[in-house]
Amino acid sequence: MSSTLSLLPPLLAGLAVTLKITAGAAIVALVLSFAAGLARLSPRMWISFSALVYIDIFRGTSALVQLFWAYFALPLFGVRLDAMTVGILVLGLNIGAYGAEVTRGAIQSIPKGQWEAATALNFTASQAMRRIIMPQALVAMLPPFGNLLIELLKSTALVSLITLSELTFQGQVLRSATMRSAEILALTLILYFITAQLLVLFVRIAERRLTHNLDQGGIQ
Amino acid sequence: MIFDWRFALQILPELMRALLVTVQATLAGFAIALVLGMAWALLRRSKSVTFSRTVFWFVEFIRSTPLLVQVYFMFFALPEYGLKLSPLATGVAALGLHYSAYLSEVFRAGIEAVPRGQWEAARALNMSRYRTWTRVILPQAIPPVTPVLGNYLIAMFKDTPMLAAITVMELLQSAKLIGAQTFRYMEPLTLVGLLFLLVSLMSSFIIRRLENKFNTV
Amino acid sequence: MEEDDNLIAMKGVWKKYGKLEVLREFNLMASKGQKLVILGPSGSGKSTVLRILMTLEGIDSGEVKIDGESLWTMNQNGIEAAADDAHLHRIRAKVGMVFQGFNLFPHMNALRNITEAMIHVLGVPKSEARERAMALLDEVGLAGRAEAYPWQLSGGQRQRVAIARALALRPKIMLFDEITSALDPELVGEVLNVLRKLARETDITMLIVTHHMSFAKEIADRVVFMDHGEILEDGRPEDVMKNPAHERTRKFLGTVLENV
Repeated sequence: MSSTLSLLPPLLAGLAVTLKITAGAAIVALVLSFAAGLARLSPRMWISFSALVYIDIFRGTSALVQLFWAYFALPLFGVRLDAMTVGILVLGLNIGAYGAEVTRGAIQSIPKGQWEAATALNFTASQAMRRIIMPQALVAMLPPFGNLLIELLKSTALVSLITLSELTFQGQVLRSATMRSAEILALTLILYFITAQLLVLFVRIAERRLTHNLDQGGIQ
Repeated sequence: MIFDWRFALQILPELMRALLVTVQATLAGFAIALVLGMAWALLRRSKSVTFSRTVFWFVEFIRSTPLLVQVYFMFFALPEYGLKLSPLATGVAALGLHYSAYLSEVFRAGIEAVPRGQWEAARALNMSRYRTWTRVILPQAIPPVTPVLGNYLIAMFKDTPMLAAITVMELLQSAKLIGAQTFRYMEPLTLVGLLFLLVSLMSSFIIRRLENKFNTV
Repeated sequence: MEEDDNLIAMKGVWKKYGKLEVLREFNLMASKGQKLVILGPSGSGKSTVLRILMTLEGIDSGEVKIDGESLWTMNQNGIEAAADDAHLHRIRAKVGMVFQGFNLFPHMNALRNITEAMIHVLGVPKSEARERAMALLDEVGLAGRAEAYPWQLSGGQRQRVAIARALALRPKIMLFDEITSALDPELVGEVLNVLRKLARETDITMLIVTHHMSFAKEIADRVVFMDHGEILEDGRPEDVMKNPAHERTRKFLGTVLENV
């Protein structure tokens, strides 16, 4: 038992890196979800089409292939990024493509009457989006965003294959040093599981807060 | 360095062979996922609360931990318990198990969407439990969820490159090997990306048509 | 010159949805302060008229002017050009609309539903917006429900908030699109009372699409009967209802009166 505990410090160091990548990529993904999701709804064909190309490329190929391409092939174009940057950017771009579909779907789910009322009250299109549509759409976005956050956490394991020493990588290093595969890998899985459950809890709280704020809104 | 089309054309046959392995692994893995996913969905309906909760947490565990680590676990840890499989068999089993967690949710939703009256009617006709499931409930529960199943099939296809980590000769591994031998990564990796894109977009198109068909019925 | 007395002027308007012709060579004028009720069977194009005036729908051809300004075109140094957002924004400021389905903002309470556009569209200071909104809520009999969210209000109350919300921007023209059709019968009266008061006490030009005949007769100083995208009758309520010129009008009035 105590020897199992001694495996923990290096794994926890790896978990810290995992969390760092998750947080970084989550920010990239969040920005892209809104940017590309809104762009898909743009009446300008070229904007909407560019967003579609981005979304289809990143949803249509595999995250690991994207990582390898950015890490091994991109430098041949003269773009050399360190593994951490590649990990955060590629995973962010990947999850952001899925997030864009969530954003688009949530905005489209708001009844047409809300837009019409906003027009009748002479809000500009951007005011209507910001003040009327988006606050309602956000409530619908949160649960699927929560699921994507878990998918993101899981996909960070892939960056171990481009030499980033996150949790999975540390597990592999430890495994080849000690050959205690079952113990180490089980521990790794458990650490991922606990982290995922904490993230789920975090998203639920955010969800409750957001709905609460919407209900209690009022004028300051 | 620019993209060398001649080289790309030269390595294409090798990559196509690897694509075949990838597709085979996907289909085999999906077959396992279908069976296990249905099993989890049915077991979760058990009358024993402890049992159905255990199944729930097991499925939740599989779903919220990385496939790659599960692949490692099966490849490196199970032999410690005397269970040794080939890399490909391990990969297929891991894919199947991982996606069974997603599919169980899909099946559950499908089953719950069957109206209560169908159960009652089956009981009124004095059908056996087995017959009720196979002749009444599942035939109604599964067709509406086939597009969702199709989407998971594509998702699984896109996850097969993880098997490269345990040396399965699928697309990515084959590209890596070509890269290591020729020191050219651009062409093989780009081709792999394009092949994935091609297959996924084509399958998505088919599924969208399937969806429309079910929506119009 | 005479035309400029008309706050609303629709001339030769065509509107199609695909093959369906909703408005055919449609003409309608309304002068300042007029209380105009539009009657007609469903699908006759009544709502489309209001939606065009609110700029929620475009037109295929013809001309629509509000307060002397063309809706879809604007004058640039004497040359007609397509209307831009700023132009539409200026014209929309003169028009308010109340919808059949209320369309209140569900994430805002009644008070904020009313103040939001006052503050962010008109630039009214918050405290003043609040005061004006409270006064309006009082007018529609909801002074005590300022903090309530739409889901906490009955249909009739929601519609009264929606009327207050539109009035808050002080439009010259108010459009009412079947605003009692989604209400339970017992809630219709409270909403119609607000309209009566509005008709009596303000000089706002009102265009009202409704099925309530007796209400139309009572409130309107002019009634228009539409069918298949055209106006068949246009006159004082008692004339249109007692001596309609067209057989179709008689038929419609007959079925409606039977249902009452």
